[in-house]
Amino acid sequence: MKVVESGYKIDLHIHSVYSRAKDKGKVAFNTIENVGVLAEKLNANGVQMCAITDHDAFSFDMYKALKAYENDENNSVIKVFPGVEFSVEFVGEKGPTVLHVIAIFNDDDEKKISEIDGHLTDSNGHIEYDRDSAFSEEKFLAILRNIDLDTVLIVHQKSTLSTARPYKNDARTVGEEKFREFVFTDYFEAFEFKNRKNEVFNKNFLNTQDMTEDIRFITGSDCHDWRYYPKETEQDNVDFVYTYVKCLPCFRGLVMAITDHRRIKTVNSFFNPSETYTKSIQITIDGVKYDIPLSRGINVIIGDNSIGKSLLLHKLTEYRKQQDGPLTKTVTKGYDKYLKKHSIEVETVIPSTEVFAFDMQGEIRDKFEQEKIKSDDFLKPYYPAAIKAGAYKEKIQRKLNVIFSYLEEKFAIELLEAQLGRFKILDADIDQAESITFVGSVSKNNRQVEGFSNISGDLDNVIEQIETIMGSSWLDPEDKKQLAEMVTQLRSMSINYIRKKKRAERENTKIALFQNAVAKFKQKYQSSVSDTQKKLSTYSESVDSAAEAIVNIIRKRQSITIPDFSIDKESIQIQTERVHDYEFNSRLGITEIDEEYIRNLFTSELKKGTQKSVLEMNQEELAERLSYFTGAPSEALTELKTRIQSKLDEDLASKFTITQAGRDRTQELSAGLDAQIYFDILSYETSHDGMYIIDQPEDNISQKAIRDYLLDRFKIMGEHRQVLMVTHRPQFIVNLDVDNVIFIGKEGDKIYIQSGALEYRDEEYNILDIISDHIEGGLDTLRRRWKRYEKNTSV
Amino acid sequence: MKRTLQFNNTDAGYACFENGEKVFEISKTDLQFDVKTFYQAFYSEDKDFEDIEVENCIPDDKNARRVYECIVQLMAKIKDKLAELPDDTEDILQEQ
Repeated sequence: MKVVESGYKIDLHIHSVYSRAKDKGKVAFNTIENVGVLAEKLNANGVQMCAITDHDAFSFDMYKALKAYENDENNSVIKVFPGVEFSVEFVGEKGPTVLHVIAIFNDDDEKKISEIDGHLTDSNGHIEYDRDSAFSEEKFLAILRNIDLDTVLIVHQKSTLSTARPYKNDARTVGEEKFREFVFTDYFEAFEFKNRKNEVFNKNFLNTQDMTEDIRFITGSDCHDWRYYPKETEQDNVDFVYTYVKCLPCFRGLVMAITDHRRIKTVNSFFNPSETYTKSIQITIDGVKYDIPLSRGINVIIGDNSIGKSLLLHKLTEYRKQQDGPLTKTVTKGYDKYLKKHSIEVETVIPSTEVFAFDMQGEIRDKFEQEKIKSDDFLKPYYPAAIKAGAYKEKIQRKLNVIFSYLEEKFAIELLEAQLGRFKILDADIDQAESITFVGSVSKNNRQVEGFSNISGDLDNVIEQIETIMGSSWLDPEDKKQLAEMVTQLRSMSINYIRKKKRAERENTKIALFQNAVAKFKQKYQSSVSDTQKKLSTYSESVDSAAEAIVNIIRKRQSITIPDFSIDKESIQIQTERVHDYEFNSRLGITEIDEEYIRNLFTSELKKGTQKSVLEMNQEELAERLSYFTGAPSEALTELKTRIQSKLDEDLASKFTITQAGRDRTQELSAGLDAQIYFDILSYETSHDGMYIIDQPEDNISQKAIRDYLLDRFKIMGEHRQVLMVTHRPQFIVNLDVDNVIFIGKEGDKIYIQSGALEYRDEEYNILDIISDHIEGGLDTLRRRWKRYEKNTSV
Repeated sequence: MKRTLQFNNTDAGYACFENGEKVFEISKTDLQFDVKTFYQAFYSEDKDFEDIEVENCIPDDKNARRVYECIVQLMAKIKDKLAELPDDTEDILQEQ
């Protein structure tokens, strides 16, 4: 067995007759001859890992007698550990106090196990207490050193840690200071309790004291009479609850499990039993077939750079990432070349239906930085519908049109003023000639044509929009009818303005023909009159056209009104869906339309320090004050319009953001936090089945966030679904307590694969050694993790 | 409100004065009528141009008379044209 497939039921606190020095007749039945009764009871209760732990005594024969059942296929027990329940006197602020400490030893070295008894007793077989009926702490530690076996220590508790008056011999009776020393030095791997009702009190104690990560609880039957197992004695009526541990059934596994509270439970629920999962990966490398078992929980692929870790993820998923875009053809070609070169054949294929999500290296960061989050398959369903910006845009556009029209008209008047010109006054009296003088003029009214055209065009747009609304299946029939009537009316209006436009066009055509005819006649006439006559005629025409031009300007000035920036204030609501601790927002770039916003659209395009309002500027001033503008003054207004239009489009574009619940929804989070949110939501997601594949999650998040946050999210995820991860970070392997490590190694030119749970080792390799040798910083992380096991002789 | 201006000689030309201040001048040398300056003097921005009277203070100067008549003629034409309905208004009336 290489990977953990299930939790194992344990009972590491059972007494035999060798506890008789303390328990007298209570244990009289538990002789070596009756071990079969215990085995039967253990089997009936489905116990898989156990230990006989007598008071300050160890019987090798008794241990061996029970161990004989380990390989019995008719018995549930698969692992029996040697153990002793020590009576140890600790000195705390409340004076000397005896605690019962259960020591479970590594069962690998049978010779040392056979010598345990010798370290506890003198040559006469008497227990060598150095206190009344207990060992001093020093002596206890000396005995452990002499036994020289890796050890797990569990302190026995009669009552809960939350009780105000601790029970005699419970850890807290030594005093609060010593108790905290036990906790923070990891003196004991676990605290033991028996009564089911204490589980809640203990958990509550951990929460209130913020010690969830510091104390692990397990249960032990403390059985003194095997006939009544798991009861302590016949009279015992405590509601006993068993503990399950997630590990390989070996001492190393027990150590790994008992030092991580997530690996200990009173129900066997470490993995999601209903989750579809890939049981193994079949790979052939240079003729060697590898059948790599996968855990239902977290599987990590490790190995040197460019050894083929990412390749394996992509090959297992048939290069499907190529369809989505991020995996390029060049890369897949390179992968195929590598596979061919090393004669690697990946036989297993994980179909798309069995993959929940696959995040390539750096892809999560890209999703947020490149604003692809709305298109991400996983995140998409959480967002509310996009906000329709049309009505807001129309409202702002109307206001902008008024301002732009005013500026256009103002600049046009200024141009007409500049073009007013000069003429020469007659320098001699000329008698009134009998000739024709051409005075006055008519000009085309193109603005009228444009105005009518715009109205009919806008009406047609409104008709189109109403018809879109009418197409919705959600519209009430009564409303549909009313809209249809509106469309009829608007269509009639539009036709009316098209007629007006055509009439204005016809008028312009007539004017053009008339102008043409007059010009031709004038030309013809000029050639047949005297110079004096021409002079008078030119002068009269000049006076007349000057009057005409001035009147035109006056009329234009009278017809325009100076606008302002005022607009009815309107809030644009952010639509929000609450998901766990986050809010998924659908919003526009702005949240409010008001006078300030309209004003800012203009001022933001002008140079810093511009005091004059754009409404008061002439064309030259606008060109001069417009930021980064180097064009001709006549182009300044067009440029301003383009820029404002672009800003407006940006401000009214749909945006999708994630914010923390209860915080300001307009304050977007950093890319690093975005990735945290992504993993957070991913870890709680249970409605979609399938494996989560991720290539180097460490690329998306800081080292600190990994430590403080991400490991926990992945642990939760590992309980819901199968995870397949490529990583280079030792924290992801050791601290995450992954369920399976797949190492891809290279010897010379030959690729090989080794795999197993963290605690796995065989004659060929040892997973912890692989991590320490091949992952940068792996050894340090392992040491930190194992620091608490100074009681252990090896890792 | 009625505005009364005086048309008189200056060193270099002929000018209109309002409350003793020169508002518009034409050079004697070239007799060029600058329409823009004229517009700015009498019609631009918020100037009151409804009722303007220009008094000729140098009626015996022949050259000055021609300049004076040009100014008065132009003012009169503007007044008459402004009294007419604008082109757009006529269109609107036709539509109705």
